[in-house]
Amino acid sequence: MSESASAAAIGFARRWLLPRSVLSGMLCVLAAFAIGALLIAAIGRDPVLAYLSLFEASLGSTNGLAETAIRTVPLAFCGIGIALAFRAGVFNVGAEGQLFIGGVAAAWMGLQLGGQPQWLVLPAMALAAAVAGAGWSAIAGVLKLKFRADELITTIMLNYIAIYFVGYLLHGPLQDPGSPLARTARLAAEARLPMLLEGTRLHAGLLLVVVVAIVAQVFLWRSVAGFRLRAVGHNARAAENTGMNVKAALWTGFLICGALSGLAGFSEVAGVQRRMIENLSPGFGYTAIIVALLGQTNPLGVLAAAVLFAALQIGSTTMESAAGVPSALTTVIQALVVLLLIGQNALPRLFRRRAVTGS
Amino acid sequence: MRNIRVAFGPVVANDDVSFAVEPGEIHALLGENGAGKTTLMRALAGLIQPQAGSIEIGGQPVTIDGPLEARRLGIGMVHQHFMLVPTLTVAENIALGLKEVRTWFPRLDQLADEIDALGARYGLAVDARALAGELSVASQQRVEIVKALYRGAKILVLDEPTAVLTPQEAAALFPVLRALAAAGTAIVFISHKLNEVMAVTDRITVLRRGKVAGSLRTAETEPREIARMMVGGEVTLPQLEGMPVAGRPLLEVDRLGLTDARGVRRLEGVSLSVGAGEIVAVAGVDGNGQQELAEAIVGLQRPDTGRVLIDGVEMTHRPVAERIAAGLAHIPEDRHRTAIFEKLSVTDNAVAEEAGRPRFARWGLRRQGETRAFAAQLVADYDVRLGSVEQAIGSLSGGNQQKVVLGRALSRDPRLVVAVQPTRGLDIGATAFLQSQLLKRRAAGAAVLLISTELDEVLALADRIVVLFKGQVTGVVARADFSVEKLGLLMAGRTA
Amino acid sequence: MTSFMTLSRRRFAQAALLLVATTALSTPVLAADLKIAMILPGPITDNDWNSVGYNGLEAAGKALGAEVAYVENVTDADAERLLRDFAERGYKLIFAHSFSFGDAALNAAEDFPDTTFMAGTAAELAPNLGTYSNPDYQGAYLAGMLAAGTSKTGSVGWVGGMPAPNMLANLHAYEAGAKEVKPEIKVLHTFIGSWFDPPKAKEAAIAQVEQGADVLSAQGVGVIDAAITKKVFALGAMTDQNHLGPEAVLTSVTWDLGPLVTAVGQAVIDGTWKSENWSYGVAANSVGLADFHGLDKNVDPAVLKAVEDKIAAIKAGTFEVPLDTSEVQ
Repeated sequence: MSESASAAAIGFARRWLLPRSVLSGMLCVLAAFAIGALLIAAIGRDPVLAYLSLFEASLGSTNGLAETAIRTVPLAFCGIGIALAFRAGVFNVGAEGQLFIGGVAAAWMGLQLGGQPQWLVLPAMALAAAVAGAGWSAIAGVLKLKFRADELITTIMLNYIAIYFVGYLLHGPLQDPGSPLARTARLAAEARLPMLLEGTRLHAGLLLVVVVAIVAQVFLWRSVAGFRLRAVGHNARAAENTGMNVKAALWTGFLICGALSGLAGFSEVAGVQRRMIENLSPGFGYTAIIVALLGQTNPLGVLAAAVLFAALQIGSTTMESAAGVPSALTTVIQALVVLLLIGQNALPRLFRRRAVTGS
Repeated sequence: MRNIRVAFGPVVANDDVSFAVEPGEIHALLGENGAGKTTLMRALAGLIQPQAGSIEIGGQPVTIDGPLEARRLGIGMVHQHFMLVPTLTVAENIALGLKEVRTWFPRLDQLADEIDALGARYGLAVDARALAGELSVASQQRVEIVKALYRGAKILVLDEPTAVLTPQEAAALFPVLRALAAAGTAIVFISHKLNEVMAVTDRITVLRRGKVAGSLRTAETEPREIARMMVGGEVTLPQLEGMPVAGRPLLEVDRLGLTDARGVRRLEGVSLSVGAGEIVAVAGVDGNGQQELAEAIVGLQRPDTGRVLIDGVEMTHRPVAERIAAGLAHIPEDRHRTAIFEKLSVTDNAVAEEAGRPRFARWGLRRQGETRAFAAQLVADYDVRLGSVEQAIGSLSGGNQQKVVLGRALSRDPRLVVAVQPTRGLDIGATAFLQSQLLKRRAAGAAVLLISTELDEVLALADRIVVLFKGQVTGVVARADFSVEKLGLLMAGRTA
Repeated sequence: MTSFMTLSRRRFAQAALLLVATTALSTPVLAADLKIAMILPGPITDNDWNSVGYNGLEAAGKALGAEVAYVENVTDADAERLLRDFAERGYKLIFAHSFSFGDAALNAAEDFPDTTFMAGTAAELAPNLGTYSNPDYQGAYLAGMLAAGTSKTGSVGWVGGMPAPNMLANLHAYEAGAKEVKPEIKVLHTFIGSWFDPPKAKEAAIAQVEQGADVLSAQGVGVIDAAITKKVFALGAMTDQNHLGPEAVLTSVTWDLGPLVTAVGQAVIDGTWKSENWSYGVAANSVGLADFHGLDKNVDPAVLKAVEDKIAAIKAGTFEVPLDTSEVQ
């Protein structure tokens, strides 16, 4: 009895003081950096110099910090959306497409409301982006719930459709008049997010995403709807058996992911590019999947993971110039984090099986 | 087997267990779930390696390092779940993996003849040329036995062989076992059913919590002594008190028909009703539509014909939540799949059905204090053994998980309880507790629908028994007319 | 994926030293202690626009003794960040080598007033943001003359990316040059709608050949491939592209950005730099024709002579290639 009590106490401490999931996520990142260091050494460069230059560039100056924060915004928006969908058991990997649709909707709304006051234009743009992103995600939702089409496939396919569709709009009806470029006209000052830091590009999208992360955290762990979302994700059949509305939870997963990814598009358009452009995202929606996993699908954890990945991406070009290490290394590190995250679940199982079968 | 010890991490499954079976003997290995019977036999079959102890066969010490070695030593296992390929014939199934039958051009005709002969010798009627998938459960079991014999089994281990059989089929199995024993085969008969063990075995070894509680000659003992040995104390089985008060029907099922996703007709014209203060049992051999019936009643499956009424209100196509609001409580058969969220805490599991009620939520946010207090009360009321209510429910034992499910269902004071195989996998103590809770609901005026394949349980608890066979009701028996023979016939599809 | 290379060993050592915070060490201050950077929209090995930019940067670095650095494959979305990164790291002259980087350059210029930015064909300038253009339309006129002088079918082709002003100027000059030689010549043109889509460019070029064109102006990757396949002549662009099709590439209209980058750099060092449109064409030896690699035997000698005379006339200022950026169907 006392044995089980102490085991429970340890379990309690693990869960609430330093959750094992956080610890294991950090271990994965450290291990990925360690393997990355071996690769750097293998091509004859200095790993310490490489990593120093990487973080010097992304965290060592005001501008670097600002750029890291700017890149955190879309990664965190998409990552939190993906994380909440994953929690519901919805494997929505369509954040990239939803981001593009949200971005074009925001730009369209911003251009429509040219001349209106900022307090009206910005919320309207954000709303348009969220609704458009959610609507795009809802296509995959309908395909899953009505036709049982695997959302893993449909959302990826919808990414391509979204990007080509936005390309069509930017070459056609929404193209900047007089410009041969695939982009909309420039947004008026009222349609741009306020800047936070003089001399940098840091915009108010950062505040928005921090608020969203906190709200999402409370939603997931403190609200009834969040509880049902998690329950459905864990065991949809048991959820149905206990009277929960499984479809509602799945829809929540689809729509939240779409809306937040749409907001990522909004913040890129209104905060960074000041118009919609054809290559708005260098794959934020895909990187955000890794970010969501590394953040253990916890909104605040996802925010932290987004900061890390943003710093990696921002510092990679400088690392190449200072240490001669190809910037592609950061892609390798990102991929290693994923592999290790997946692997850490498989490894203990492998060992346990060994122990039981013996030989 | 001498001084066998098997431990999985800190859990000791077998501790200093010694067990011997002689040629020509039927030896029962008896114990509650989790007592270590299966672990011991897995060690014998080479599926796990004991950390300590030795195994001798025919007086020779052996090391069994895998299933192939076990087979070579003449050990044959008949598992609870049969391992036959349904699209192959019986002979082909037996030939699988046998070098003797040749790989490329198996001599299947010769093999089939040998199998038929072998079956005939022991009264094991099997048709070697039939497709395995078309055989009844009892026939499949006979095939498994023949398979073991054909592979030269001198020691035959049967893991709960009667769990899937009707009483008649079980009764038919016993002479076969006697004949095999008479021919010199050593038989290990694993069971937790006392009456069967008394009827067929020569010797009984009782395991309790991984240790040998005692070994007795069957002829020199009586059920009460064995039961005491199994649980380590006296157990009183619940008794029905008084005859049912004919209350108004709280559950009415009206000519229900259901076709599953694969197009198989699972239920046809099933009608029954359960009144307030009444326990109605649905009996039948596993897989005759019980699960579909339960799921249609609770709302997990949509019937295509017929109606379900709860307290007079049509609920046939209403969502589960409405049925719960109308007073339904469900204790499902497959706990892990249908009842619990293994990775969520005991607290979360306890309030899963009611998380949105004002008692547990305000402004859409959960009231943590109330919720935890409720879970703590439930844990106390239903005697759930755990460290903390914040523990993941998956880390509890099966019995304690089931108590949480039971508590969740019954603490709402439900008017209608649908319990499907509620005691499957539970030990005697937990079973008695659960059954007494169902009786309490009955006494409190609730309607209880008990769906169970355990005839003992059904006979002990039910006011009426409805027998299902191939998705149809073959008979309804009132308590005054209960008899094993009668039920057995109905369960085999013969209408009364 | 952006990649970054430093072309100076000294820069490498400097960065390393900076990182370990040994700021005590001072490097000798040279007159040309100017660091020049460039961001390019594609790979520097494209034998096209990006190679021109990279070669110009490298040439200027050598001529001025300046450190140079670049990032290739930059997307429009990422351009501003990289411009700011260079500015932050002390690069005082930064080229945004794509007309789609105009926005980014304008924004960065606003926040780094002490840094000089040069954006390719920018529409909007700032006190510290100038622009430079590629007057390859001057070369296109010569190419048009050569095409007409080579064609046997009386039909020549032109395949380009998108109808941007510089491309329109190129097309109109090509047509004008061709018509000077043969007034009745037919000039086919196609905009494939993308700056880089080799299969589409090849397809468009083949379509033109099937309509009778036997000399093609290759304003995009893929056209030379088509010329090889259909055994017609192509006129390369930007760099000497003869090696891509030794039998097919008659000559190429080359653009050497070296003189321009060098001049801009020198102006920045001298403090004489002005925000304006820097344009170095045929007269400045920036735009010209590459070697014929022996294929000039296919051209009417009279036309070859006319082309040489035309080059001399442009340099002497007696002829100005007409600049026409009007839209076409």
